[in-house]
Amino acid sequence: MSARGDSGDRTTPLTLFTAIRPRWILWLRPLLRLATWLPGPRWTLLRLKLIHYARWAIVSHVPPGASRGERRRLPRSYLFFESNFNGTPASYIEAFSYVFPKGMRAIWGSSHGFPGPIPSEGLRAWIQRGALPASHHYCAYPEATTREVLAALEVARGLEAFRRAAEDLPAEEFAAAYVRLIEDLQLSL
Amino acid sequence: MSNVCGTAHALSILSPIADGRAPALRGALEGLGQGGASPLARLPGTHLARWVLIPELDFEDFAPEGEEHRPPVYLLFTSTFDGADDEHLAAICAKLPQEADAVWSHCRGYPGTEDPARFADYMRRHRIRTNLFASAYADADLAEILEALRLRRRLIRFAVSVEGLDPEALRSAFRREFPRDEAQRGAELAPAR
Repeated sequence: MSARGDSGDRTTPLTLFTAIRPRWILWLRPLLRLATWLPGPRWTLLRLKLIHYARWAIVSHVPPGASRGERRRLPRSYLFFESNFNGTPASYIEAFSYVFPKGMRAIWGSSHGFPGPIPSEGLRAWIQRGALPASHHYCAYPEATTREVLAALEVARGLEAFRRAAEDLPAEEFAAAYVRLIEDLQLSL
Repeated sequence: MSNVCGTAHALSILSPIADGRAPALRGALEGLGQGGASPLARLPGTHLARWVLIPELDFEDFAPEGEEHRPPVYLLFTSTFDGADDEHLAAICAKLPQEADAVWSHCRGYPGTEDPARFADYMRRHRIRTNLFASAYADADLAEILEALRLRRRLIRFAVSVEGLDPEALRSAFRREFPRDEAQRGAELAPAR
């Protein structure tokens, strides 16, 4: 589940291909389409604040984007999952399985061998057995966790608003506004 | 489009490795610079990217000993970036032609970066269509994220440095640390949402 990279890189890449049970693909495709348009599932997943980005794709042919005559049908369809997470694989998978159990059942319940989200030990073993190591991995902000990026965006917005509102205030009012700014942002600093 | 979430786009390319070329491909990937020295760092607006060796897609369950013991058959490239797909593919040809060719030349049918149109066509034919893509920062592009991380570090340092200053000195210190022209640039970069 790891990649060769800088020791300062706090993101771990995860790449997983799982075989989809034959008839379940009829359910999985519309489910993923629905999740694209409904904000709920994506929000629930990202509520973990451990994942920068995540993607799912169904792969049934190679080359995947070639025209009908050029491509070969795989013996079965595969669910490709990719994410980047902070922390250890164990903590990530445990958090994932407790925050997103329904979504995990709905998505990976279609895959052969999926042990269910809880207890997380079985899920962890399954993912670690199937995870493919990255041969090369790059992150533009390797030193920052997802929480830190979210906090930084909050700070940037707060600071911009403060600059616009307070910069020309008399010194006493400016100081009071500055104290309020730091109090408002203290959880993001 | 299911490969877009806010400002971020997802690209996934699955290329078959040419017969007998997997060891050389592995060597090419291992020879790439890491971190800021990665050739992928030269791609504008790229948040994350990776190359992964993929075994034959014919298994039902994972092998007990793990997939790393199965020989690679495909090369997977994925990237998460701001902007249009065509621009991203053109940037690969323009910014890292040698490294891209050193890696993908071990894949069947790869045309090289010399002709960007043929390169883009190859990538489109090997592209995996994303069914679901999620981003923790749907409204922020890479420039905004990097600027926000820098601002946060500076504000932390500043807050520590001004403890105990009187109001006049505090306001002067703030104006020196966060000058007005920078605020205008920042406002253009990170509009309030």
